[in-house]
Amino acid sequence: MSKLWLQRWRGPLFWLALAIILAMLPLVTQLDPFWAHIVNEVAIYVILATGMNLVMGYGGQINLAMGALFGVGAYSTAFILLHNGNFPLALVSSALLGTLVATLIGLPALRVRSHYLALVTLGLGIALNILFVNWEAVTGGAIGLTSIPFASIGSLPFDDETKMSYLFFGIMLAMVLMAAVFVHSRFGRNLKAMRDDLIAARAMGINAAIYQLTCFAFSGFYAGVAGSLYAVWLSYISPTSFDLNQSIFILAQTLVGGMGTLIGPVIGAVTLVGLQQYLLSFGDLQLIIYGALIVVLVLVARGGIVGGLAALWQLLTCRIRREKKAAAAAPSNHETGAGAPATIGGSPANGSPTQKERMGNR
Amino acid sequence: MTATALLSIEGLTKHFGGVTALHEVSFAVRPGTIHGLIGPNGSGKTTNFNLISGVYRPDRGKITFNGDTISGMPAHRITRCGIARTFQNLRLFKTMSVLENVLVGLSGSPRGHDTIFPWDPYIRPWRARATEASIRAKAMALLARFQLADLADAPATRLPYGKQRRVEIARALATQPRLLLLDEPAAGLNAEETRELEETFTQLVADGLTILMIEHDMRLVMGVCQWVTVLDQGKLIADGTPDMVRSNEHVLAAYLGREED
Amino acid sequence: MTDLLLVAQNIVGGLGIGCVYALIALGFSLIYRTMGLVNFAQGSLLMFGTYLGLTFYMGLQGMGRFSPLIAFLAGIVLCGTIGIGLERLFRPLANLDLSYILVGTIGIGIMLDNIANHIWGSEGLVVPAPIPNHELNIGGVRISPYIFLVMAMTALLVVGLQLFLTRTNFGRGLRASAQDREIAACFGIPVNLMNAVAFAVGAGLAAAAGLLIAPMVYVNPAIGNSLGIKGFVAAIIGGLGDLPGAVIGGLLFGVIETVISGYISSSYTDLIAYLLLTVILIVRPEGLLGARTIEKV
Repeated sequence: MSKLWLQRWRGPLFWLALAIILAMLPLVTQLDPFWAHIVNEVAIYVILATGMNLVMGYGGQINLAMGALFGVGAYSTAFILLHNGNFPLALVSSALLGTLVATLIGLPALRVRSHYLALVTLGLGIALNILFVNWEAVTGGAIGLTSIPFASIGSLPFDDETKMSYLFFGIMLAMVLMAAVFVHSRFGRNLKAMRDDLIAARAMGINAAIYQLTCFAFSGFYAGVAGSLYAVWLSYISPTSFDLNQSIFILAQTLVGGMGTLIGPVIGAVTLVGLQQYLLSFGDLQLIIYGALIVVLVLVARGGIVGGLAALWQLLTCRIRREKKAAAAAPSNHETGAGAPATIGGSPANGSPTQKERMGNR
Repeated sequence: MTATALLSIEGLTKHFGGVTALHEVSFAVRPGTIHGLIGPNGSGKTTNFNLISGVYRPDRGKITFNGDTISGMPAHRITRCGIARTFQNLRLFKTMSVLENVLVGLSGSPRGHDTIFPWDPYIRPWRARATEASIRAKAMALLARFQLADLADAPATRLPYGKQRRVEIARALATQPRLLLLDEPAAGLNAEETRELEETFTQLVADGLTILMIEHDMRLVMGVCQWVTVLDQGKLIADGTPDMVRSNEHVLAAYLGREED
Repeated sequence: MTDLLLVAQNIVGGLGIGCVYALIALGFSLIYRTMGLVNFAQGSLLMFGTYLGLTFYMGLQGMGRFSPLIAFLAGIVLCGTIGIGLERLFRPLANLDLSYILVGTIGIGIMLDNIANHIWGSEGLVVPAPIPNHELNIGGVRISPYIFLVMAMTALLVVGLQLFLTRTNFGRGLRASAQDREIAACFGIPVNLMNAVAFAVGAGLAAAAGLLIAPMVYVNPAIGNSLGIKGFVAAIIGGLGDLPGAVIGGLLFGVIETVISGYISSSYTDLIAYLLLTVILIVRPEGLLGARTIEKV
């Protein structure tokens, strides 16, 4: 129900959100280091959550190797910068390497049902992490890599949080816009079709496996970019940032925001990163609370924040519409089709079996 | 007789665990005809469709389309060869409008379009927009043909049943097939809607399409099909013109029950 | 000759640890079979149950010391109780999208991990074996007698479970409920109770596994993760939901892991575990013994 509403209002909602973000731009330029730090962290996670959302909400698969792909991006950039490369090269390399590794991980997608694919990504993600811990020559082993040079484009160094926030914000914006184009393209529409009904989608000539693989590659692209930013943000990276817990954190953000929408990952990232900051004051208990919160999230608020807002809107407009109908003499409900009030699982007036009964043996 | 068959099925067999859904079924569909596939419930008709369209792989047997062997091909490739289908239980895309459903049909297969991943919106957005516009125009034309043009933006699964069936047929036609598999296209339709359907079929065949149709509505089958194949419990029991089939004693026994029942 | 002895040694050791994996895998498969969800908190339950048991065994947190048997049972029963509570919590998740099950169960796992950390601290424990553990030398093969205790206890638990499932009414109800929830309910079988029992048993098995392995490893709140995932791999090898498969998968995995670790370093054996999982999921996801399911169109 609220899903359909969401589909129709997705476009305007997104542009509204974009407008709000752009309006905040002047604020960004005046941030003090503390807030800049938070903005930077949010930017990185927005990119990660958007990538996760693409593969999960639109591609229909869980990529539990996202944390590890994040690491691939981070280590690539760190490696290049530590060996006197320049940042643009590092960024591009991270993105490409992330894409490549994600494609390799996603190759089983061509053969495996999505339920098992999640587990494959789980296994490969952990395997990658073990690699990070052991391949000391490149990754510095369990200790990680330190003193990673700052990002700089040309002669412009991004050597403090505030300067970084311009860069990070800009890149985040670009990645989100890219996702918007992706979703509204023919590819995005076919992905939606696959999500709605895989068998029918195949019957339309859609090679589902290749589409899923492409979504995987895309998520790797995003993870690579985010990883690159991460490396130059803290100047220090270690394998613990790229483990299963990181993947779950990203997954939780996607769920919190609301899957399958463009604005969802942004909301999710802001919410959970903000939450993380807030929970720091709880010290020991912070992870317990975090664990409890994501359990509550999954039990109670499955559509995420966006889903909740949509449901709220639906509730309000339904009430308004019902009141309008009660006020005027309601026309009989024989005319179904466009423009008829929405009813949940409503039966067409001509007495044929309802949707639910017809779909019953699927 | 089958020298010019468009679709040729030979010895098709399919088991599901211990159940034999189809056993050594062979028949042929000739181009430019409306071919009926009938039989009591559970006789294997939909399984037959699923095998032709690639949802399942046959355990034994061969399916040839237009000279190429398609048995064993994945579903999306079979569609690209020129076979489209509708589903017994309607499989419209739930979160999409009528128009969007048809648009997917037009853009699912890469025939005449660019590669699977659209680079165009990123590197040549003007071209992407032009392609999208032309696809839309085609889709609207298709909808108009089925009197669905004014419902283009309606959520597809909110329509009355009969209209949803038409949407599914329009969507299948969007893939530009040579052979259209229809699974109970008249189910749930009233007499007038069925008659309209009949006219649509005749028109489509006149334009060069071939139709293979599963149906229970005998009036429709006998009225519009040039050839009828009858299945019962997974086996082929009759294959001929409607008149031949109508008076076939095996067919009558299958539908009306046997003495032992 | 000594090479062969080494392999024999590794096989015995592998069977020992395989027993532990088998118990964890049984827990996974039982819960999956009955409730239709993969309990990613299994590892954390293992850890928590182990700590509960060890509290009684080693007198942690001011508790007095009890005999190993009582501590063992205490750990299992307490952990099983937690399992019952978790079933109630997870009930709405049962047949949802995998991502929700994942986040929900892992969330619980994170909570358990950190509550344990909070209560017992993150420093490790060295757990003494409950029987005198001087290394035996049987025909040149060096084995610690504790391994036999592990195997014996595992056998006991597995046979006990089997008897429970096949001979008691309760157990039969559980199997019926696992096969078809709705029909079982029609026959008056309290499905929710069955689920709770299955979860309790699964949790109890995890605790048993952890307690059995405790004297062999360095116990800290992190052991759950690695053991949990290996138990999961074992369950998949045997076919998720297949109980005999879980046992076989566990034993097989234990032996393979131990034999291989004789040749390469331990962190890389972990790598192999995960690669193995990947390969199996790609090639034969229903496991060695599982049955293929067919979707009706």
